[in-house]
Amino acid sequence: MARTIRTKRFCSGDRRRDRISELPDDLLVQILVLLPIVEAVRTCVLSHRWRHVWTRLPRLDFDDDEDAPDVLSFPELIAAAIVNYAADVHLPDVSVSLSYRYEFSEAVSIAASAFLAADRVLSTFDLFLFQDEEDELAVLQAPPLYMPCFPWVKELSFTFSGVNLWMPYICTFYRLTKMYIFGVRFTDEGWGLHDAVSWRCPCLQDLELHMIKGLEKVFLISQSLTSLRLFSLVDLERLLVVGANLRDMQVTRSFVHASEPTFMLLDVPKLEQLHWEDRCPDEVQRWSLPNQLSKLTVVEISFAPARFTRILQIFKSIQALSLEFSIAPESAEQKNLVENANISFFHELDLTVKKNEHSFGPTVLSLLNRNYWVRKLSLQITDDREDKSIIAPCASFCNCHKIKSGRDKKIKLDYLNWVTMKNFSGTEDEMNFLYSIVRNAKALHKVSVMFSMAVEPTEKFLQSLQKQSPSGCTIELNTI
Amino acid sequence: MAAPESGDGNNGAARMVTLISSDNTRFEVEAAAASLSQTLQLTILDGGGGGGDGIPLPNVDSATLSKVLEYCIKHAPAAANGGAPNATAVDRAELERFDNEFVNIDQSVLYSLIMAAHNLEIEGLQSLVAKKVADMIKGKSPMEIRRTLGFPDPTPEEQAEMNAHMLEYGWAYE
Repeated sequence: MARTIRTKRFCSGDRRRDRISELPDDLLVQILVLLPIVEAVRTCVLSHRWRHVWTRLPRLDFDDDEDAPDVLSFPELIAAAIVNYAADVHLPDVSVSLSYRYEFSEAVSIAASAFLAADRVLSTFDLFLFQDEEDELAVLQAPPLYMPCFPWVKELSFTFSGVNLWMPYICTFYRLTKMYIFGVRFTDEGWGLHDAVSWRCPCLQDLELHMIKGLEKVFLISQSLTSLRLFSLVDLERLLVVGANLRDMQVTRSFVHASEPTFMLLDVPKLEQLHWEDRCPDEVQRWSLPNQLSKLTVVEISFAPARFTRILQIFKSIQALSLEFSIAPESAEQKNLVENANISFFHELDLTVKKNEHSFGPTVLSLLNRNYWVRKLSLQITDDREDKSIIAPCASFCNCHKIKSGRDKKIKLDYLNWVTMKNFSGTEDEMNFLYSIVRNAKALHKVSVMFSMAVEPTEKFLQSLQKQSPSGCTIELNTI
Repeated sequence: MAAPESGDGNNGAARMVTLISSDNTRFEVEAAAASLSQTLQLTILDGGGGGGDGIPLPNVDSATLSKVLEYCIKHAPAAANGGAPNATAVDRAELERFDNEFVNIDQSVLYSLIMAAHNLEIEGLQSLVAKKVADMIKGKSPMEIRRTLGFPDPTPEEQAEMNAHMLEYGWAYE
């Protein structure tokens, strides 16, 4: 290289002359976008040249993390940035993420400022206000927050614990495809949400509601909705879903809090997957359900009598059933599940069983015996007890004693051809269970056992499995 | 600096290309280094720049091009490794040291580099120089920024206008 430039930084005289201001707007914007938004906005006072440079920032991210300089008024900053943004271009995505604790009513006005962006064309709007609700009086006395209509937004995400949110009663969310609401409180029982989602969101596909208070009624009528997820809607009493195109639905810990009688109506003819981690409502009405569900996941909730097995009776046929529960031979719920319940027909069973002082084998074998049409079984035993060796003697009528092993009772497993056991730790309980399976499943052609951390299979175990399994069955032992 | 020789890399040596600055100085560099520029990459892939032809760069003067190439030569090996997933911490530290030293330059050079990085579309250099200017602005009051960027002292009218804007934008300050 013939010439290299080595000059001292900021020499005196002409060298100090400002050249940066001569850069074209788009290059200045590339510099400003690297600064916290407050500092980018502040450059407007530098000179005439800089007056409007910031108004073309490609992102409006309002974030009060530690790097961000203090400002006199955050609501004014947000409002002014939105209002003064260049009028001849679309507003870019707006994101407000504040983790500093504001006075509750100030937080409400911050959100209201951000809502000024609502009628400008933008793609996503994301508001995250971390608030604790310790000061209950302040929460209750704070003014309600009125959400405006976002006619052009495609994705809307709103997190603000405790705020009394009112949904807009006019105007259409023409392009909205995703809506996520977390932590708010409704005081209209849920009618505003019903109205907006059902009548004024023609493209809405994904709806997710989390930790929301006051939603006693969730009535959703939507042609466009394909995915619905409800988590901890603590006041939920009545759920009505009419969704001609709904494919995927999840209900988690919502009905379980209700003290009043609960009700659910489903009109979802194209439903493919349902995740149910809740108490089954007192009354369930079915208008239209698919002939077969691809996947049903039912998770027992430990802290409340869940009646979770009733949800299994709603569908006629299921491709894959995933069940998660703890062994409790003494519970009427579980007795019903393994002995009486007339549950749906399913091909694949994915079981996650929480182990406790009972042995799990009898319960699982009884369940399989009852549903002898299962072709593929995947079983995972979890045990979060501190001392895993405790197996307390249970009552004499407990079904732990009913089936000690396959020798004691002939189990029908005529269709089972594939068994996977995960997290295998090699206890006697687990080994006896596997022996029973391989002895009784005549059509079995593959057994995979995945050992848990630091457990190695013994030669004796492998030989024993091979000896007892039907001819032609492959046995696969995997260690971590 | 002129080196109009054959630049085909078939004999084992790396392929060379010739770049010609706006003031007609010729620079011969490895094609891999010049290819950090998205603009040049296309021409080079098409076989341009070899032999006596050279690629004219009418927007970049020789002082700036020499500086740009210094950057490209240093960064080419890491870029060839696809970013630097297998670069050692030592290599990364060395590049960082180089970058810091590299932008320790006069503002008019910085200006030319920003324009050149933009015209030649050299992504790494674009963010390096943008960050340099952002760091010159960050955490300063308007008057401090003006001084750092070398604005002339404000006329009384300009000062009055600034004060008015500061009042108007009072909420943006502490």
